[in-house]
Amino acid sequence: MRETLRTRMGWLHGWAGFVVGLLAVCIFMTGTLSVFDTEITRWMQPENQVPAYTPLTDTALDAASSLIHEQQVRGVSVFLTLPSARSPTLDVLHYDGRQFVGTLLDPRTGMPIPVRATMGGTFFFSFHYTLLEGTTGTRIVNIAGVILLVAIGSGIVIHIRALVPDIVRLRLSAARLRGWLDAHLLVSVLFLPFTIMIIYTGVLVNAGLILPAIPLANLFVHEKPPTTPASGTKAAPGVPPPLPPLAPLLATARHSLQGRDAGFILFSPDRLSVYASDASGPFLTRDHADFRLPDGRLLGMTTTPGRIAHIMQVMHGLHYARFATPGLRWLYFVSGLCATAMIGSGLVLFLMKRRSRSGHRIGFRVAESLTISTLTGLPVSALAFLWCNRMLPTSMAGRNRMEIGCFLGAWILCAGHASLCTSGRRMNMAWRPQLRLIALLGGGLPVLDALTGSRAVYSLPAIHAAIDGTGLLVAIIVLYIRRRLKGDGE
Amino acid sequence: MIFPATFLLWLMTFSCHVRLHPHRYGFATLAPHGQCMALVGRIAAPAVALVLAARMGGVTGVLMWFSSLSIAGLCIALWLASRRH
Amino acid sequence: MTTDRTEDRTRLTRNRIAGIVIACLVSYPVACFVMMDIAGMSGGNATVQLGQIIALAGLPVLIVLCFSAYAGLLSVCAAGCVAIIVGLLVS
Repeated sequence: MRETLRTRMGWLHGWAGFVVGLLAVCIFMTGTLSVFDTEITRWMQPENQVPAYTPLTDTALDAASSLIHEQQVRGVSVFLTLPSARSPTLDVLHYDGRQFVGTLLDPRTGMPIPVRATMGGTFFFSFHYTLLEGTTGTRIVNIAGVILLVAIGSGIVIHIRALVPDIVRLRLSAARLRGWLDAHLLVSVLFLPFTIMIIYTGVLVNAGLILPAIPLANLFVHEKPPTTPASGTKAAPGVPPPLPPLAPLLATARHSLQGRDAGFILFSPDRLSVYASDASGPFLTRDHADFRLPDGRLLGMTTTPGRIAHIMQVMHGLHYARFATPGLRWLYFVSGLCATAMIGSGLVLFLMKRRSRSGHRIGFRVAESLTISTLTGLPVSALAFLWCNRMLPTSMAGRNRMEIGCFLGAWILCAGHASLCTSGRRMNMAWRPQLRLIALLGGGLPVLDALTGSRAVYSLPAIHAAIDGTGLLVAIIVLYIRRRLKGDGE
Repeated sequence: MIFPATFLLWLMTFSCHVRLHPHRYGFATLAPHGQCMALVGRIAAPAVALVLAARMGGVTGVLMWFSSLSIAGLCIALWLASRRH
Repeated sequence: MTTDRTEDRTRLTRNRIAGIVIACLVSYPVACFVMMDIAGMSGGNATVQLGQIIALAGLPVLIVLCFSAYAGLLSVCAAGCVAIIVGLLVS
């Protein structure tokens, strides 16, 4: 067998793509859902019916101030998220070790909104970059990102000659393998700029985890655990003073931040910092105006100057897309779906090419069951997560944990079903029921929404129509794929 | 309004591209004059789209330009596939 | 004949696995050295970020280059040597 650059790169593309592709599908799919994380949270909390662009009143700010002071007295370190176009409520939040929780206040009256406890869209967001494994997970995601870039680089080398002429070539009527290869190439080449941008900026967000800024020799030196607790973690002694009125501080901060809206306010014992909103532009900065407590005198501005810092801010901004208008957000969503389809079609191609030669091997069957449980199991579990949110009693204790349990449980069941079917070499028997389940859960989403949150559907029609409509569209696409599979036989 | 405009310009670009590769996409070969027109269209349309997109602002404009490229390409490919199917 | 082909394929796979392991082992330190060289320039945290931006963009390219051919591996090794020398000179 003659080894050429193309065959060598083909091997690298196939194996690197497959090994990391299983993980990458999960990262891309949840990342795509995270584009609308706030909207998903609003869908999952139908009790919150505050319309977008509701003006913020001084009464609400005063109510938030007193709630924050109350929490500070109890030693809870809280922060205040200000209303935005996507989330119109005033949120007094704190970190409970796993997620941000707290009270949602009506921006008109300052009254707390009694909402159900839910993981919300932030679950997909944290799954996207931590795989629910904290820093280890983030490191794994980063390594997967680099390997994915390697797979893309080798893929470009393989297809470089036909890359431009065949850019819109799709032969669905050709042989199955040809059709899948065309589909894989089509989404890969057309969405290549987006895919490279999103992977590269994603890796760059936590670059320190894989390229730490310390000499290599120090990497092998064991870090000693701190012997004394950090002094900053202790609660400040004494009762914190009441906060000054926030409205004038926000006006001053807005002026200091060159007209940018305030996003959130952090509180420390001697000062409060008003941070610029992430939605104010593509530069994701942490620029803030500091005010002294308790008198509220402006201490100054903290900005990150310099060209390199701005490049980094743009990289972060491009990845998080918090500046994006709803239209651009949909473009991110569609591009994310196509990037997921690129990886998914690559996984299917990898298996198709090896089925005739290695289909009988146990390794192949494991790979196939993993592929099925990733490509169909993850959508099933994401939809089960949404269903669980509406089916569980609203006052149930620990319901957000139950939601995660439901997500993972559905996924494990799908994986078990896939491995049972592939062990009997009945590949289509694994795909079809799981596709049917996606269609059932996705298609049933509008019905579920109408039955369990009809008032929210009326008060926030855009959000509910978008999420229910997406569920319905997924159901239609999946049913089409299932029909095609049926046509191919067992 | 800028996205539909850039999208249409990219559709035009891919149409010109398809006509410049008639054997790959199953079309009749163009006359030399038509080929010249298609070549100009393939170069000019994305440039005009970029100028239009740049009016939205640097980062947003570039994002818009690339995403209209991707989606227009996908639409043309699906249309060509359904035409052959 | 079949045995020969199987052996050939096994040898090829072994070569490729060794190739990718070497590519990763060579490329990662080279990217680290490049980052540290850039970070070593005066400018504090900003140059560290610049180093990370460049090194992370280069890392996948280096791996592909290393894996592609023997000449690629040699050139990445040479680049690594240059990065080490520059680092030593700067420090």
